[in-house]
Amino acid sequence: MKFGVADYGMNVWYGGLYDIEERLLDLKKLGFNGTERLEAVSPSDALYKAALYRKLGMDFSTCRGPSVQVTTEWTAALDKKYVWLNPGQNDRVVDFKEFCRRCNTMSKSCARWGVTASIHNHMHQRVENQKELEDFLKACPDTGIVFDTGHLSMAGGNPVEIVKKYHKRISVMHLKDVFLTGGTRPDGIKEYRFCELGGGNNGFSNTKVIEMLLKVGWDGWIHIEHDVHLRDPLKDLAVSLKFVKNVIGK
Amino acid sequence: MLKFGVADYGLNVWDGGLYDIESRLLDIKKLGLSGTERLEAASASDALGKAALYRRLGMGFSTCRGPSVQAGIEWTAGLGKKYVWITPGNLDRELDFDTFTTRVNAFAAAAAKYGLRCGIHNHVNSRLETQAEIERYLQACPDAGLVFDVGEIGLAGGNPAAIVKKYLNRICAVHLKDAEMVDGKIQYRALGNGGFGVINRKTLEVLIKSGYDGWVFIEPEDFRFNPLDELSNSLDYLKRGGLSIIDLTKQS
Repeated sequence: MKFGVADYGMNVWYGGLYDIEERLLDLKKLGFNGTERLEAVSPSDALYKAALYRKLGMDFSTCRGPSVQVTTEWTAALDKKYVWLNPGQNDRVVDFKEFCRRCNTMSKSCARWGVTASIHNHMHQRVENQKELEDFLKACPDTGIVFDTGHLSMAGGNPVEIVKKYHKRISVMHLKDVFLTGGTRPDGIKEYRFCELGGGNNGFSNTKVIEMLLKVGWDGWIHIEHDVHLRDPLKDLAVSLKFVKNVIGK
Repeated sequence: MLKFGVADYGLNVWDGGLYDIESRLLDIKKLGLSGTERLEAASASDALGKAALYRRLGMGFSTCRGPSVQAGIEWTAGLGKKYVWITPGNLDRELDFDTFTTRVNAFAAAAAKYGLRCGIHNHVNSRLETQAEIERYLQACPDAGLVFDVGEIGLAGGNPAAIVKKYLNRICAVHLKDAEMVDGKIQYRALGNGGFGVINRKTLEVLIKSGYDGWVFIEPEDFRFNPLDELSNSLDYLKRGGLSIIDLTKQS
């Protein structure tokens, strides 16, 4: 397994990604192997950044460019296995069948390049809860999952069961904990934020997820993702990595 | 898993150049081969675009060559490959061996910064020709490897199986070729049509038994015939020799 960071939360905390070399060196010091995405604005930029990752002894699991097509092409060229599904509208309003039709179209395009288009289950998006995720996987049989345990837990699902049942469909893992902050949103959902592993309070723990990953022999990237940081992200990330490695026994 | 490809210099000679990589890849894919050794690129954009094309066609490559040594190293690293060819300037028989190894070590250090190994292609009439020279080089340059050419070491009177057994972990890629002497000159042939077919086949068996799971490239350089036919004949020769475990239909 490799351990990385889905670094959206770092961008939020710092205000952006200003220097990928600095970020990679920071993450390397903590014991991470890379970031989820290599972000590139051109093919040259993609290739030179990939070389930089390699030079620093770091890696990435997918690439994102300025359009869906170049994202697929550059990810394929960089010998990576999956891209995020990005079929336009992805909110709770879009019709599920319409959404799946578009995902199948994108998935077919990606397959031409040897890449698996993968859905990120996410609160307030089209594929949010366990039923939707399972329905989606049936309706889109060639897709994978960017499987987020924190989002599924917040949506009332059972991440351990998903790993057990669909581990062959999982392109990459996103681990995070859920912290209920008290109160209820206007839409009836409890107020929450995501947090470092071990810091959650909604009764869900990633321990059993990691144990199930080991049990089924899943071997890929585990990315830590903290959308929200209330302190230096590197401190939260260090806590989370230690949590994962303790469970794995490394 | 062992992959079979083409070191396609001979195709360039036959055609007069490489005019369309997509056509070439489709041609060699029909034969059951999985790719070419080098992705040749003129710029970083070109390298990435071509790497995507290889992937879309279900083909692969093992290294990248750009317009400069440094670009070749950076792009090969960026594309996630494992080795680059060593090209430390002059490589002829006149070059002092210690100067040669000093340069190789400098090259190896630069490649290692990018997580790459560099490998030298042993070749008749080059600095690294004989078995003794290969072994001396491997000892003097501990971080460098071999783009190991079975036919060339055979021509130089060496024992390729012994090199494989002793230095397996130093082999970046393998080249197979056959040859015969005609009027005192080396003439390359399809595997089985020269004097080194059996050596190639036996060395391949040793590689497989030793657990080698990298690329094996056939070099068609008998310029009397279409190299695609030569490649097909070479593959048939390997299969006839009992290497039926090479299931070319399952390569990817």
